[in-house]
Amino acid sequence: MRIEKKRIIKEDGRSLTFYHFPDTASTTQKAAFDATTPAVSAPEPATTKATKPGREGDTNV
Amino acid sequence: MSELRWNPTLEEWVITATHRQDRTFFPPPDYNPLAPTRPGGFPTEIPAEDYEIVVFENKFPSLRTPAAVPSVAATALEPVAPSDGVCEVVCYSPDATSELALQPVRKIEELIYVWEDRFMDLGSRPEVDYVFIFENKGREIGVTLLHPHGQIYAYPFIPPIAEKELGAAKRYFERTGRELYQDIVDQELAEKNRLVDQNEHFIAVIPFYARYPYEVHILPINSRQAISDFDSNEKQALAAIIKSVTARYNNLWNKSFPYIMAMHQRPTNGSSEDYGYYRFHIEFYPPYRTPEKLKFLAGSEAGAGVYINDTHAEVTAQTLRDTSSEL
Repeated sequence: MRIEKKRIIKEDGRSLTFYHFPDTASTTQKAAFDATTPAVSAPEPATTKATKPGREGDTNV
Repeated sequence: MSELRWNPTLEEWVITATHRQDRTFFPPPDYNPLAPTRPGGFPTEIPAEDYEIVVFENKFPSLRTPAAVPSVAATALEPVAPSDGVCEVVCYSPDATSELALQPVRKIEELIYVWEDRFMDLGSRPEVDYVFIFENKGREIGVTLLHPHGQIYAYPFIPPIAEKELGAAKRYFERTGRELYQDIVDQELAEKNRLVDQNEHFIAVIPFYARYPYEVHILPINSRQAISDFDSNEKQALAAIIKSVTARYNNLWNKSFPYIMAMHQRPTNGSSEDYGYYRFHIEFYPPYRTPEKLKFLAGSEAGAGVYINDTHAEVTAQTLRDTSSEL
């Protein structure tokens, strides 16, 4: 299956990805995808992980 | 404001998301935020005149990265953590009147490829330990936007139900040397009386231990831990059996059938090899027990965690098996 995608950044900073399937897309769907200008990806900010507190020898399973 | 609050009595996180109180609630049809943005029309979430499948970050997310600083101070008894993670909306049809059961198998197959892409993308992020793909369908479930869509929650921890399933499967393997889900699949294929449908790669069953009268589980016949483990033939087969189950639901009482569809798969803090004792599967929780009566989660279920099913899986499976899968 052929699949293409384009990611944009909305005005409020949220990410949106269009997925396009050339083999089944309608004419208007293909035109809409082709008209979309993808965003340049920005590096993801570093974050910390929420580990479980308070259990001795805790592992995920 | 969103944060994680630790419940020391159940040893699990609770997400508080106070900004969600004012999220979009049943907008009028001409203000559908999940429709394409038509020329001269109101700007929706999707800035295009048409689309096939679109995935975007939820406007009212329970989890986001970077997360806000928690609004309360943590204590040793009740820790608090930022609600890091991602919440996404998956719009799989531009048609507001459609639903999964009405999608051609090929379109469901395309959706599976999108689910795989989101699983891989979100699962690769350092703050994400579990990618939960699901769909809430119907007002009875609490849906606030009726345009067909699913969601993805990328949690910074393994959620309790997944943790329980993983623990049970691991202990079963350590005790017996066999995979729990393989034994379940083998039993269902042997007994057949709880099968709803099957194909070369998947079975759909009402499990022996079903909690809802028409709860269906879709399981791969072979050991697969995540959606990214399926080859193209298996993805095709998965699409076909999802179509079969959702179409049977709609045909059962000739109405659009509400449900929660929950995809259970391995955490993303390891590889499929790390979780070889576990198996990918999809669970459907439809709330109706008769055409007019809902199964409510009341005292025993919500208060004690003990479900009461007014039916036998063998009987409701027969009913679904006898229901047409054509729509």
